[in-house]
Amino acid sequence: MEERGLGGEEIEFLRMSYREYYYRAASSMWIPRRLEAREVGFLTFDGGHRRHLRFSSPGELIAEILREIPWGVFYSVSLYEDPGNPEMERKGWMGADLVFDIDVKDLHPACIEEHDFYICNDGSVHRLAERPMGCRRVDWVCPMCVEAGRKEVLKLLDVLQRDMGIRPDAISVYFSGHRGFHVHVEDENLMDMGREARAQIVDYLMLNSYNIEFLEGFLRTTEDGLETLAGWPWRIAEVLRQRYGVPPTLRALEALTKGEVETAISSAVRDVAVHVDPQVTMDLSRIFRMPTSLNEKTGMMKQRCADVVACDPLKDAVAIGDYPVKVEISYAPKLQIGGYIYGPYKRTALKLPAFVAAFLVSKGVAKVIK
Amino acid sequence: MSFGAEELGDLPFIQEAGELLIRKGYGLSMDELVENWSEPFVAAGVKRARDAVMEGHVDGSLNGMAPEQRILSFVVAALVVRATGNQYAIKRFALAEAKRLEERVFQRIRSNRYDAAVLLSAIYSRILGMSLERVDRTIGPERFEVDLGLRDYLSLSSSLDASKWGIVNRVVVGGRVYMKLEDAARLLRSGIADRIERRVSSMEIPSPPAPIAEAAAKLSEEVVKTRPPPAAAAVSVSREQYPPCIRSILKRLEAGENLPHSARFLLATFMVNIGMPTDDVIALFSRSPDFNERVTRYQVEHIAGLRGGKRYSVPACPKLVAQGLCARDDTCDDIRNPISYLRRRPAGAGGGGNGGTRPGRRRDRISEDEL
Repeated sequence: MEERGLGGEEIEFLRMSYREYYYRAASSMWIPRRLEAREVGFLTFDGGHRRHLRFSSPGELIAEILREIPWGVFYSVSLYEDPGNPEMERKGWMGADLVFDIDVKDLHPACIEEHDFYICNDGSVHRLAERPMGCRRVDWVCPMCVEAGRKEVLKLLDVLQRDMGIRPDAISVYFSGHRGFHVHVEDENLMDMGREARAQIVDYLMLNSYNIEFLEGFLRTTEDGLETLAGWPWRIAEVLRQRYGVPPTLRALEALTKGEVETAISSAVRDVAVHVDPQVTMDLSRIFRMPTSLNEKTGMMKQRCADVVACDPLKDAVAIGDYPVKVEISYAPKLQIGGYIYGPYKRTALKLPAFVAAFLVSKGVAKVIK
Repeated sequence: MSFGAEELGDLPFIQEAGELLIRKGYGLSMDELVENWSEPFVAAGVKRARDAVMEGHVDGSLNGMAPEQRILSFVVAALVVRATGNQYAIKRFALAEAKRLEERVFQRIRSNRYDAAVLLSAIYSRILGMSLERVDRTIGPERFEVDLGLRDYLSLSSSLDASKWGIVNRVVVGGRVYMKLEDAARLLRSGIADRIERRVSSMEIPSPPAPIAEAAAKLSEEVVKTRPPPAAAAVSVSREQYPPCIRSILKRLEAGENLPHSARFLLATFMVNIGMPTDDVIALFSRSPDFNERVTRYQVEHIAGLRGGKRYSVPACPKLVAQGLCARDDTCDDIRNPISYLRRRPAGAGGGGNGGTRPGRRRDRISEDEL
């Protein structure tokens, strides 16, 4: 946290903004089900962590959030007999929600090269490709990042529902408040899956250890046979059908690809595979950002996307007020949040709505001017 | 369906098998068993215990015996194995018995697929509490006969080779995994072995009658003689210097767990690549309940490049993450391969981390591939 170089004024401003938000939102905070069996953790404004907290009622948790005003609020995806026990082995694991993290950075959209940057101690700003030594990377977020994430979420939902048979009402999608999406599955049937079973689910989604002969085998059929495909073989066939404009039987592909069928399949696999962060799904001792809490990287909240196709997180996840705050900005690419476009800025002092100021301050590129 | 007498003869570990014995006039008291110690089923049972534990399979000659005789021979075998008090022996016995059932199911598949599907479905539901549904679904060129819930499939397949059994290489639709009967029969093994192991472990024999105690003592002696001591001592690099993922696997191996194929491959490639002699690597695996020296030797030598010429390298960290084997802690820094852990950590500086044990269901793994 220190590396962002936030001074006392900045911390004070953020803390005040967070306090205002949490008091306003107290009655509508999202609370994990079976809270009493969850470990709760706070990231505090002094950069410290308070872990292994246990709350027996929503009221108790909200009271503690209002007392502490944390920078980040997290809860365990696992349920424990004794969630407050500081020793992981002694918490008494009882099961865990199935969660997925889609980090836009892993999807490599072109916009990242354009807006992410390095800022050095002397104030100089560098593009990603320059990789300057000893400088701090600043991750930005833009509508294209959101679209890349949204597309991946839709791929994930399709596989979870169609292949894994998970009911849509057991799945909730959230914008992380920064540059990603979190997908929560609450299905009693899947709660007791251990790390290895979850690794299998991740492997399925990412198509990491797919066997090319397995996929190819399903194309060794007639055009009518292709109509009966399901699961990954079906998705792969659909991509190939679009790419080559004909029903992708193995015979047709061999002719069209001049014998390079495996290359064509591998390329289709890259298109359909879902990119999730494997560790987040497999790590059962992890604490996960709590929906409706604020993200310390931006001051925006982790916000439910009830309608994944239509939600507009860069607008909807704005949680901090819009009262004017004067800031001195060292450098900021164009920023589109709360429905308006701000910047780009370079060595400027100006008044901005508090939620924009909070974003820039959280990114360590602006100072608050009294 | 309810199991007929013939089928119960191959399912001697379930309650209905005991009921069949009572219907046929066999009491199950220990005294009665000892009184009948000269009956053929006793000798068959003692042999059955030895074959299962020492050879890893049960003799097919049992198949010719009447169902109640087969059940009785199982009871004798289970008592003998239980009386050894040796958990490793119990695991070996359970695995061999599960393989025997599997072979019987395969015979049924060869003679009548419809009957076999009904039987398999009954075994899944009555013994494992899982619903294996009979279907007739053609997907592309493949025709599938049964499907199993994803959660159940994962719990039965977790120790099997992912290139064949991983769900990524299966047709998964609507939360069901589609299979042919042969796969459903093979998939039973770990679940059945687990049931048998629990059944045998839970038998109480406070003071085993002399004949059982004698047979158990003989078997015990043989087990101890052939099962080598922990091989950790043979390792030249001290164990604290291993990366957390390797330490975690060794710990599981020593706890008598049947490791997944991916974990065995990691352990073998790591040890081969740090220069551990092949025999010592094989000895490490001898702690595994499903150890088969011939197969292990073949596979380890293959990994070491002694067969086929190509020496396998240690899988990189991202791959291990994907396989659920990574136990990264602070001591790993940003290494990309477990082998780099040794190069960057001077002797004695291992420390940190506890081998990365995680909560979750870790028991009950029986591996297909013998490595």
